[in-house]
Formats: sequence, C-alpha cells, structure tokens
Amino acid sequence: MPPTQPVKIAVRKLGKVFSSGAGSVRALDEIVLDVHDGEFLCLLGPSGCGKTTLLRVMAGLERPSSGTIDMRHDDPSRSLSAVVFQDYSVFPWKTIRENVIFPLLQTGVRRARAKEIADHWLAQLDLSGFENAYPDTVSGGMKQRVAIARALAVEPETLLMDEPLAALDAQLRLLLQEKLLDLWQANQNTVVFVTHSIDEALLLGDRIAVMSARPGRIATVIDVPFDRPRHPDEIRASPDFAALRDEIWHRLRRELQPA
Amino acid sequence: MSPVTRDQEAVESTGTWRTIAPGPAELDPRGYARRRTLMERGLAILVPVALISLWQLLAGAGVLESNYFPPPSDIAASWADLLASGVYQESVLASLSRIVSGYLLGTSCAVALGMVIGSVRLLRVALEPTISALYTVPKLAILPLLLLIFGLGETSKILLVALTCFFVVLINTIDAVSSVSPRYHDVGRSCGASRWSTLVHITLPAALPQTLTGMRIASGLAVIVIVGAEFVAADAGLGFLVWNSWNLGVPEHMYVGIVSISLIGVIVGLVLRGVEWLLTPWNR
Repeated sequence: MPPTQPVKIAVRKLGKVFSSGAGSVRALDEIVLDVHDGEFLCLLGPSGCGKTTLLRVMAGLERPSSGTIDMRHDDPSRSLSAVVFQDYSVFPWKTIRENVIFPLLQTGVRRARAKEIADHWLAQLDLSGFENAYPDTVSGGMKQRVAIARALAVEPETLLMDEPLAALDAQLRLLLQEKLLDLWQANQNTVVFVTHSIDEALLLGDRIAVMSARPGRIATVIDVPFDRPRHPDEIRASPDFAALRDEIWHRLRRELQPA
Repeated sequence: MSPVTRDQEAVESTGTWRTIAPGPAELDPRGYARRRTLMERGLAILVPVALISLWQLLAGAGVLESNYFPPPSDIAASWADLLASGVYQESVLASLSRIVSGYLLGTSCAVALGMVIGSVRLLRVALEPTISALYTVPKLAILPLLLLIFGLGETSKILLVALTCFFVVLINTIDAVSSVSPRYHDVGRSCGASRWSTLVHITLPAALPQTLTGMRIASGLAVIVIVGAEFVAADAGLGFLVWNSWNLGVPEHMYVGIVSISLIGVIVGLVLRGVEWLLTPWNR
C-alpha cells in the first residue's frame, strides 16, 4: 500500500504503564505509528513486547497512560472497529450462528437480517452446515473461524486481530492464512494484525511494525514488497522472502539477547 | 536381507513375545457397551433390593429388634394404611408445598440479587463479608426467631426454607458472576454491547452452570431444613409424621416418613438435573 493513502489510525507518543503492588511495568513507551486506509499492518514482536496492549488500546478496551490514538470514523452507520481475539473468545453458550449474530444485534441490525448476514459470513469461512452447532463440539480451527466471521460480519472500518491463528497447529494455520489473504483481497479493510510469526507477518502484511520489549517500542517499520493478490506458496519460495525474514530475525534476535 | 518374521525370531532367540491385539471391547464395541450399561443399571437397582431383602430376612429371623427395625413388609403395610387414611397424602403435600414455595422464593431472590451484586464491584466489596457471615449461621437456629415474629403458621416455615436456599444460591451466583472470564466481557465491550445486553447475553449464560449447581445444593438443604422445622413447629408434614410416630411409638410410620423424605430429596434433585439439561444445552 503506498503511503499516499490518508491516515486511518494515528498513534501519538502512546505510553501504557501497568501498576501493581510490587511496582510498575512500562508496557508501551512513546509509540508513534500511522496506519493508512486499506492497509494491512502487522505488529510483530516477541511475547511481552506490548503488541497486544497496543491493539487493546486501539480497540478501546484499555486506556493509555499517556499520549493518544486518533481513529477516523468515516461512516457512522458502520462499526469503527471489530476485534478478533486470540482464543477462547467464542461464546460456548451460543450456537455458531448466534455467536455471529450477537455483535450485529448490538449495532441495531434486525434479527432476520442479522441471520442472513451471519449465514453469509459463515459460508465465507467454510462453516456452512455448522450454524446450529455449539462451539465446543467443533475443532479449534473452526472456533477461530467463527471468531473471524463474527468480526467480519459487522463490516468494520478497521479490523483488529490479536494473534488470531496462534493457537492453531501449523497446517491449519497455513490454510487460515490463505483464507485471510482471500478475504482481505475481497474486502480491503484496514487491518491491524498482531503476530509473533515473522512468516505470517511477511505473508499477510503491507507493512510490518517490529516491536521491541521492555519497554514496548516500535523498533522499525518494514515495507513488504510483494504484489497483491498474493499466493502464499510463491511468496514463501521467493528469495526476497528469505532475505526479509533473515533481516527481521536478526533485528528481533538483538532485542531478545540484551548485550 | 529379508525381514525377520516372528517365527524365525522365535527359533533364533529365547525371548518371549507380547502380543497387543483387539480385545472383546474392540471386537464387538456396540454389544460390549450395551452389556456394560445393562450391568451398571442392574447393579444400581440390585444393591438396594439386596439390602432391603437382607433386612427383611434378618428381621423375619428375629435377629433385628423389631421395635427399632421393623421388617420392610410391615413398613410397606403401614404405608398402605397411611395412604388409605389420607394421612400420607396430607403429610407429603404439606411438606412439599413448604419446600416448593420457600425454594422458589429464596432462589429467585438470590439469583436476581446475585447477578447484580456479582456484576457491580462496589456492591460486591461492600456486601460480601456480611453475606459470608450470614451464610454460616445455621438457619435452623433462627427458627425460634421466625416463630416469634411470624407465629406458628406457614409463613415462618416457608421463610426458613427460603432463607436457607437464599444464601447458598446467592453465594454461588455472586461467585459465578464475578468469575466470568474477562475475555467474554472484552468481546461484549468491543461490540459496544449495552449493560442489559451484556447481562442477558454474556453474564447470565456464563454464570448459569455454577448458579444451577448452587440451586441443586439448595434443594437438598430445603428438604433437610423443613424436616427439622416440622419436628418442632408443625401439625402436618413428613417431619411431623416421623416425630409424632416416635411419640406414639409406631416405628413403621417413622420409616415411612424417613423413606418418603429421602425420595422427595431424590426426585427434587432429578427435576433440577432436568432443568439444568434444558437450560444449558451447550453442556449436554
């Protein structure tokens, strides 16, 4: 995505301090970051670098300790953002269809219409036939697809994803990465995608914001040069992919091994 | 080189083989499962039948003192007498109506209050110590107080059952509501769910299984406490039947009462299991 696109999310000198009895932890420190319209931005970093915290502040689930985030809301009839959580966020007491209907009802969609929308998105995520099943009766990969369908169904202006594939096994993860690429290609939402997998970030992202830990900072922002639509197998086989992966890995390795 | 077969190996070495092969459960899984269920159900019935038969035998042979342990056949006969005279129906109805009205009153108040207290942190912090303290008071101990205030009528006994159920269900509901995983609330907040919507779609269903467990425990306590109350402050009911039979020296009637009380406990428990099954379809 060329940087000429207008800014959708502006993060300005954002800081977050978690205080507890023992002391305080600086989870985020002076974060400055722009996310552009229609961009797929990956937040990449080791665990504990604050990438999830940054996403949660964007989602309005956490207040910053300092600094601000400005998010442009273009169409008041659409949701500004929807979140796909890491795991265990699908309601076990609701059927798969009811899980997807829930956020739609919150935005004032009528039940009959919400059901149609839900079924459409469940079909998009290959979940047709499981509408009336309870989440605990299906596999982890399917549950996570329900979580993705639930977020996509409200057609948010920005999609915030917190390691949505981290709990899945490697093969399932590859399949869902392809699915996400297809869906993004078709919908072109603005996406902020938290991950700790370099491969995943390179495959999905237009840009990768590499974070360092303690305190959480943006270490560097890398442009991903691959053309869209992307074909995962071709990209993984390309020399650019290997080179970029090495570059990011060396960068991360320095963060992980304090001199 | 050809692969070593078992026969060749057996000739060449002195070691023994351990063969792992399908057993009866694997060869006929459906039949095996059917036979096992049949046996388990059979045992569940057979054991009490055997115990009662043993009792009958020992009592008939004069080994058991019949003033304390009348033979089951005598108990069954006096059960029939009580039924014929209508005393039995009256007793069961009296106890059951106290249990049901007290239970419904106490439980519904407790669930409603528990939902509110559990979801409002300030209320929880303010009230929890008091609730825990009141919970530990044996409710039977306040029966005299209730009798003093409300007299010997039905109100005091219904309130006793209600209070007993109230605290058990309240504590379980508060605990259930406050331990709902914050992940689910995050989902609600990120969808912009209203307070009401959060309560109906997230808090209530998430807390339901533990709340229902509390309700099942309360049903057992309701039966226990009403019998205690009827011992001292009633002129009808199964508790009264047991107590009065002691006064009159009719041990057979005592046993009819005791068995009936335990049957009511079992049936109420089963009914609540059914309610659980209906209300939490995702846990089936």
